Amino acid sequence: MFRAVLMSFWRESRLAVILLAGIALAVPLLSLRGTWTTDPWTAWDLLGAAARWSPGYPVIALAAAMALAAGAWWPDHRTKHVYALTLPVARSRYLWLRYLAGLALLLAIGASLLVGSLIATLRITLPPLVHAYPVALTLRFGLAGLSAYTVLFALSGLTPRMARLIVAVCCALVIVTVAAELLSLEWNPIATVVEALLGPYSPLSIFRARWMLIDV
Amino acid sequence: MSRRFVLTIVVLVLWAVVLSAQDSAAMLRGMETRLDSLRKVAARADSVRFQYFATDTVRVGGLRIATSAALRPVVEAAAAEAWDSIVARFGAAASEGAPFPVMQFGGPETVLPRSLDRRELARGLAGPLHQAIWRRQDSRIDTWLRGGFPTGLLSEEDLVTIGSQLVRIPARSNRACLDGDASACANSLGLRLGADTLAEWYSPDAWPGLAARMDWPVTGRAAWLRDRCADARALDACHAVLTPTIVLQPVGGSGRQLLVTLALEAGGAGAFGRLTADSGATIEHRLSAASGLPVDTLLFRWSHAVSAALPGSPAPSGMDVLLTLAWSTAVLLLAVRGSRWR
Amino acid sequence: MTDAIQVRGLSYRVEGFALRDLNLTVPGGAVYGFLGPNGAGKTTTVRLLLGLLRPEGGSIRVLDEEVPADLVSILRRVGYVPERPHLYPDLTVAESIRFHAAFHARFDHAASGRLAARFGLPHDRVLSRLSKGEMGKLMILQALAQRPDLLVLDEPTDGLDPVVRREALSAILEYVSETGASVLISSHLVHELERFCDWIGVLDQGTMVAELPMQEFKSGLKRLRVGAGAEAASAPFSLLAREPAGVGGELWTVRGWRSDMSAWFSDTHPLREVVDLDLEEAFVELLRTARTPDGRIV
Repeated sequence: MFRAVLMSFWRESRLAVILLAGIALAVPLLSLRGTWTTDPWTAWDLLGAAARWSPGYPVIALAAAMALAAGAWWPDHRTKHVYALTLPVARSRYLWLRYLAGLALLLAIGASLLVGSLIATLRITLPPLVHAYPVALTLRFGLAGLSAYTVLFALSGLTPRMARLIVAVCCALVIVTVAAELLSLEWNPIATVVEALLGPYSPLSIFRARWMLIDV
Repeated sequence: MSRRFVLTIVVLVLWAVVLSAQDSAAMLRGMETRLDSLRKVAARADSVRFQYFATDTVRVGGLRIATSAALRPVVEAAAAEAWDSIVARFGAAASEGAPFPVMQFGGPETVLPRSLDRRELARGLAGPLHQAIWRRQDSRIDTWLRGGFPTGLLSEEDLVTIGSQLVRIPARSNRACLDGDASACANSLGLRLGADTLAEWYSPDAWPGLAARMDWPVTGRAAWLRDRCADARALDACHAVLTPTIVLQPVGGSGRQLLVTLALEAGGAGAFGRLTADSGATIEHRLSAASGLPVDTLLFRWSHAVSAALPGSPAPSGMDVLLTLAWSTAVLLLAVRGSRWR
Repeated sequence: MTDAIQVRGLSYRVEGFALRDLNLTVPGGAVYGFLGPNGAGKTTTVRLLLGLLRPEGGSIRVLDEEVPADLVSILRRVGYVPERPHLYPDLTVAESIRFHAAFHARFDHAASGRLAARFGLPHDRVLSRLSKGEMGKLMILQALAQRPDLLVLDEPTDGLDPVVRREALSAILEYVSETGASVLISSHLVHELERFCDWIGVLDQGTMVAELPMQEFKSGLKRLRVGAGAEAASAPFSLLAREPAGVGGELWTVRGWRSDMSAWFSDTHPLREVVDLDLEEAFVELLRTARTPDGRIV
């Protein structure tokens, strides 16, 4: 069953997965061009480039999570969930199958990042006191992708009624924020929500880190 | 048609020539004048805002804060904490400048963000006083601090920046400093420099790179020298253009602020007074006097604080893993309980 | 044999529509035609039977198991073809069949291959590019190849051309005659069901108007050509409709007719002809008599 669900998931999301895996492979390779030479500024250049490309990793993790979460339910949304709900399998089990299939594809993107990072770091000689962290970065990428994918998977699988409710809450947040701005109230509900999502101990707190492939 | 086109080109070229021939110093003076007038406008706006919003004034020590009646209790508590920290840090110097200019905090409609705690607010209120007190000190220490001023212990992010500078910038002494060599740290922090700053900080093979990476805007001969240094690797040109004022420091201003902060922390009460007592002494001597420690010990502490804060691996911690798994499980369980999947 | 479907006192309500106290019985091995005009509630009933919707009241038993408590076990034995395409549109025909097979332990790959060849389905074509007829045939293929004990077909041939419709229905009939499976087939195309249904249920505005064996349904409804002026008050049958037909004659639509009732007519008002109604005519007459003049169900 899992293979069948994985196969269907792959068919539905393969373009996004291939694209994101390609980007995940390319970003580390592009970020670490050049190598340790006698030029004393090598560390400066390498670390500078690594820092410039570092926002790319959480962005890829988030994009992968979004693409896979959307792909997880897209065919079912299109067919109003009739097929999924008439398959002879417990509904909760079907949800797990879909979730795990998406996770498997997320792992594929993570593996692509690992390969890119390993190649990028192995082909250069690093300056003294500079260290490479291909595995550590991939682990963080995997966890960030997992947490974002889980949240978005749950959101994208909502019934239209719940989805409408969430959209209404979001709209209300925007309206309240604008109103607070107009009334010069120093209160920003959107910032509060973002803080709740990204702050310490929050579901997406894993995204808050230095995403450096090489670092001091 | 073609004559008009040629005429337009000629006018544009002439205009460009006139513009490029303008004296850059005159332009700078003009910009400074405009900046001054803008500052005056900003000050006037501040005063109008103060009159409009403020309904209550909090007075704690030398601090005067205009705020709303609703915010008064919070502001008062934070101001007390801020003033205590100022007195603890600056001692008598704090009272010498008092009362300080009125600060404004919030208006009648201000709602304090939930995440803002009293300590954070106290730090915010103390900041301008730190600035005011440091600005009154002698120019030598101000110059050495490069215009910045220490407001307290630096953030984790600042320490990471200092550590990164020690690794990234190929100054002669940086790596040894990171290994705990106090003398090397003194060099990187500009405490024991002779006449030739450039040569003492950097070996000549790093000079062209320095010139290529300098972000100081230079024109005319300086630009020509910079290009000669960076492209033709002409060391005499490097020496001429990379003056002590504009050469990239092995460690930036935040590194120096950290050293002063450590000295004041170590010295306890009266440390600031001892730091500023003898304006003719070297910075090294004054830091030692303030902290009551040999300067090498202070530098070793500095090096240790920086090394300890080096970021290292981005690997998720055990807590990160636990949190992610816990949140993911919770969210999934909620999803399973969704009406469609029950 | 026990009933394949047994529904008792089923009620369900959504905005502007309600199923009221619905009773429905599909005997085991029967081919049950579920008739009703558009909007009568046939699809809603089917969705309730398969657990896609939650009823407000009543009980549903399918293949001797409870809905929704035993839903997974029921769905293993039920082949479902919905009104609109429900298969994943990004899969190819072969992938869709493989996906379906993965969830059905009794899936018959050989039968699937035979049906695919018979229907001429292009294996490598993506479902979103199939014609309506091809999609209909694929849904029927998947439902039959899983070897169900009960087929639930919701307007399976709606919108298909006559050739495709004939192919699809004959495949279903072959399967039923081979396995003895029960079938619930909902449709508003009455004449389509006439040929092979042995039970009929008629739903109108959420209410079951009639449920009886096909033969009884058809034979009990007749159109009589009689002489004008006959008094029907004491007739042993029910007079549903009466209208003039030609000079000195009338057409009566009656229910509960038996051949021995012709003796009731006298020489002054003779029975001239008994005309059999086909299912569609019977259906229309049934609905006409079931509704009040303002269109409500009595």
